[in-house]
Amino acid sequence: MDTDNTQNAQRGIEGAETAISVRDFNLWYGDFQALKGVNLEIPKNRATAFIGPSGCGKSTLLRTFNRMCDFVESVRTEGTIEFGGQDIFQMDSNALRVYVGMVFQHPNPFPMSIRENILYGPRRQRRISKSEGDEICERCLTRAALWDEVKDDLNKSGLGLSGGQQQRLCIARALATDPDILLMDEPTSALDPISTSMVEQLMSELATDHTVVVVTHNMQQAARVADKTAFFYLGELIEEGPTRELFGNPREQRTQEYLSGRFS
Amino acid sequence: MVISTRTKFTDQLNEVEVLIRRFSEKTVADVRAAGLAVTGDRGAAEGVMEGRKAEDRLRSAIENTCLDIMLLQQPLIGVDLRFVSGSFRMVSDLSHIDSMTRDAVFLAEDIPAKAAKKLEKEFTTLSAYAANMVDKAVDAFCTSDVEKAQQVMEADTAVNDLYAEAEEKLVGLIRDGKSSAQYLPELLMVAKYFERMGDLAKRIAAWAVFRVTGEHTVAEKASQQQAPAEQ
Repeated sequence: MDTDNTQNAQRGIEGAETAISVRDFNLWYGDFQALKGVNLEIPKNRATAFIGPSGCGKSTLLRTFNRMCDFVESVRTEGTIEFGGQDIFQMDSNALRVYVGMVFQHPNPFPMSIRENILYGPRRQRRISKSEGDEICERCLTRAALWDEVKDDLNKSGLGLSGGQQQRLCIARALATDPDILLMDEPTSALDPISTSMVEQLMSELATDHTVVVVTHNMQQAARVADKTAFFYLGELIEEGPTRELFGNPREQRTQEYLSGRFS
Repeated sequence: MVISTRTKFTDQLNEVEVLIRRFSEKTVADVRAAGLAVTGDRGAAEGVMEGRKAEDRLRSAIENTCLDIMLLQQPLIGVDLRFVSGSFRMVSDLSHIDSMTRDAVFLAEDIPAKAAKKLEKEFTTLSAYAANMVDKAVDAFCTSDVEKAQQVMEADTAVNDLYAEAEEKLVGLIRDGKSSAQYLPELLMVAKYFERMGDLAKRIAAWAVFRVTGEHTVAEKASQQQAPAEQ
């Protein structure tokens, strides 16, 4: 009799290649140290969630992955973050951002048509013909589960879409440059439950061939979506591991307390 | 196009149902085989005794999937919550039945075929009744069929009557004093195992009702009966 164990909802991370490698990483905003000696491997083509209370450094680390910290004048870093074997701080930041897409907390379509939103990134890289533009639009909007809803309105403003649709448009826009990594900073915190479910479903599907890193305050969302979870507190990485292990059997008392809502 | 959401969750719920049906098929086959084994079918006896590992694997797979769902797939509410919690509990009953088939076969190994033949008809009928009850109860759980579950609960009376008949027959044999009484207690115990399997099938049927209504009549009745004794 075939009695193989059921597949876990979360895919294994053991044996997965590393997409991003963080080594002894420290970051200061002026005198304030926001990240302290972080060591972390982000598995390739998996979803990784960063959780922790506000101010713990999770968004700071996420934004560092595509060098958004460069825009903050007082920032100083130590340690390395490697992507594809290269230190990201030695790479051209615009080149890096082609490979690392970003989706923010609040949907932020550009004040232009749906089509122009999608083609904005590719056009900064090269000339795009009409037929190629059509192909990119359909592919990215389909991947973001938005094509059927907007295919007849591609020339209408992206700002006319609902909040959930706008966020999926932003995901489609991020996919248009064909990134390897998709960073998502609380991507559903401004959405209703149905739109949240849709975006979560997208995260899971995208993580089959993209590396997805998501910051979330919703621990149940991390459990539902992420293959790996990392818990941060006061700038330190307290614990990280496969989501099932972190939620089922946290090693650290602080993780147990935070996940069970008994954090003081 | 309708976007499917929480597909991992849906897949896991489906996985639990597939595993439960697989466990049910195994248990039903073991109950039928135990009916043959206790009257001397060696092949059936070996088949039942070898089923332990498969039982452990199936039980563990169902429990682990239920735990994963409870741990990682929140919110888990309403019918889904009752399906997962009911599955988690019901798998113990299925496991208990499967374990009883081995106990019955183990006990019957020491009973000479001649002695076992005295209750052959009763064992065959009891095992067939118990197997059908398990099959129907699990199906009722998987399909949320309250009517079918109630039929299973009613069928338990017939199994109890069959056991009473077997008991009466054995008492008669002892009174006659014509046959050796040495193996008669063992025969009665084997019959009791089948009767208990019927009781557990009734509990599974009650989980089917629980899945739909949120009430587990058998468990509640048992706790009500226990309460005065504890006071």
